[in-house]
Amino acid sequence: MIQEPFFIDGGGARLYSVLFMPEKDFSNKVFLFCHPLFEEKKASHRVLVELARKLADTGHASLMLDLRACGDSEGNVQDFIPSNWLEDIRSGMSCLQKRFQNPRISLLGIRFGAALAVQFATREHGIEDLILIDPVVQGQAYLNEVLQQKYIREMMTFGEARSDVDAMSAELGKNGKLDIDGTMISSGFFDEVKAIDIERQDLSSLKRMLLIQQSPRKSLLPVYEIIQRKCHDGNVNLEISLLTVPPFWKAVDMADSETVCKTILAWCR
Amino acid sequence: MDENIEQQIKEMIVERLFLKIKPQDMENDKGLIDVYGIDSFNIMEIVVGLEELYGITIKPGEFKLSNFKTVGTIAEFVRSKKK
Repeated sequence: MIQEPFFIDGGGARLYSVLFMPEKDFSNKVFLFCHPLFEEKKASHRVLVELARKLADTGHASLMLDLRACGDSEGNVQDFIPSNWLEDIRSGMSCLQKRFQNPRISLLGIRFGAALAVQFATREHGIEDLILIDPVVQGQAYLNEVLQQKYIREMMTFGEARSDVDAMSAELGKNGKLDIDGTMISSGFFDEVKAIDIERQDLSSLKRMLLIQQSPRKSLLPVYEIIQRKCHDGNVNLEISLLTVPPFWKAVDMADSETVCKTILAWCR
Repeated sequence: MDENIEQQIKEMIVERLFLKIKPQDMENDKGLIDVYGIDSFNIMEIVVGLEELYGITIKPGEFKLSNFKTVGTIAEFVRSKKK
């Protein structure tokens, strides 16, 4: 397995990337990873590296790209909005198209990264299939979750929260920015995330999708029934995998990557 | 049903957080954070679990860490919400 770190030029920002390649028998299939945000990105990192290595062992390449202002890429999140991240995915894709001859590109997104992957794949040509892991379906619900999480963390750290969710929203409106997990987020970012709603998107241009739900529930979460219905209506070949394992993107300690890796490798065969 | 609340909460916590203990081995007065290693993600999961289990809504203003210290304090909180 070859692991090659480098920077991609992402329209003014250098995007840190790592390409994982099989040493021989390359299948010409490449997975472009779209990571989640904030603490979820850190928690997912090790699992994604393990997945990329396992994919390389079976002949597939993977590109782990840090979106601008995330991880080791350049920039401050408060200067960007999610549309900039769609440009970064495009830069990653162009890099793969230059590097390989007619690669078969799959997008693999986790949480908010999955929402970005859906946005990208429904707008651009050239994506063979999609893997969505616990995707964010509605931006507004995701933001509420992010703010509640911040509220609970303040409560745990200081014994009481310094402001409630409504006050945080008001602060964002007044100052135009808000600190989330040490990252300053702009009101433009919030507005664009709020507008994301997979229910309102046309998925019919997609061909094949794997939806992975990691949850104690043994049935599909109602929010994912929306994706199921949209795929059915749009004739998208959807496979759903319900994994009763702790979501790796929430793990504070070492997460178990085995189940999710096995599921993805089986789907690739 | 009221006397079963503690047991229901333990089962919900063990299931939702994938804890490697049996619900009956959890003690009502032991700290969830210090003894069972519950973190902020987990507290959020417990809030969602309580809302689903009891059909209640926990508004941010009602959220106090003291209500989530132990299984016992969560049960008291649920009882007060159900009154």
